[in-house]
Amino acid sequence: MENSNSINKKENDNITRIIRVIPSLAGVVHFYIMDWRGKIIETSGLAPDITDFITFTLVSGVKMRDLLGSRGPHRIWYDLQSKGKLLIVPFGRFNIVIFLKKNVSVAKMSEQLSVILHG
Amino acid sequence: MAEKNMNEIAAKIALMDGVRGCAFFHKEQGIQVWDGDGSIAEGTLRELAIYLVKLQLLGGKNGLGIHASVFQFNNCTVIGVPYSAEVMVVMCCSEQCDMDALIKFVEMRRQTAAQRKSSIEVTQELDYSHYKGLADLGGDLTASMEMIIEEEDSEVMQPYYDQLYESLAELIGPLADYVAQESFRRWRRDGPAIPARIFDLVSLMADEIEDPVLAEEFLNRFDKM
Repeated sequence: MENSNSINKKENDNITRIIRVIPSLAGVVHFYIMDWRGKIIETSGLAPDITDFITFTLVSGVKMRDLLGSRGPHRIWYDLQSKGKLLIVPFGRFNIVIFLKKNVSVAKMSEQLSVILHG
Repeated sequence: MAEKNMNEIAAKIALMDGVRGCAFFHKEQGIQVWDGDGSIAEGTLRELAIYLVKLQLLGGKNGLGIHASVFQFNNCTVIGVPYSAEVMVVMCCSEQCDMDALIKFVEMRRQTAAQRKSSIEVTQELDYSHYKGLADLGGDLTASMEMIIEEEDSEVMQPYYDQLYESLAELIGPLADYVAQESFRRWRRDGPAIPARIFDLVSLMADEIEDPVLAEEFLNRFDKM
């Protein structure tokens, strides 16, 4: 019997597809794919280790959702002093985390990710 | 003064499209001011702000200087923008809000507040009494700098500024802050802040409005000033 927290075949296919496509998207500086526990599944080379920060962000997002009685978070992003952006897209039991260049639209990037994941 | 500014900013943010609630949260003293349409309680804004402040600190420790944080949920978006080292502005909005405009608005207000604070600190720190022969001149200089700062805060001038800003915001929206600041800076560089010079400020602001129809409309509103 499959563990409800483990990544299933469909999700595995999604991750494979994301890993193949993300580096070619314009504006992507670094990326990480993390599982629901905050463990890195895949990362681009030289990406800084910010897993604790991402995990705390996701936990905070869940707490905020409960406070607001909402669903999600569907998307989290930070505007950074380095002029770039850090985008986090929770997707089922894995999370896509991308450092973006400053001129990249978060909405457009999320749309591209959604097309890759949903086909 | 700081709280008055925060109240004004919170009230302006609360009036923007899609904003449900807004609060200034001090990391040690809690909520300073808050405003909104009543759909988000002060306690909820406080809890949200606590998460945003913790993330700001943790981000800093991880080498991520954070300018703004955005959490998007199915029915609302939570935005946090640092206003100073101690204060975070937390905003809760619906889908209709223009997030970029909101973030830019708070950032510009933060810059203005920081500039004002630094100019006041300079005035307060000036002490010429130790400099032989310059003590009297120093006293005059300090007095005139204080006068300039007082002029900017003058109760006489404030209604003019408010009227100009409101018209500008009505005509060009979120860009009003930028245009107002730029024009005001140039106006103050060229002379004192007195009612007799107010039309110069109106002209400078009109020059900054790109659309000629809106610029004309703006001038018409104040041509009898």
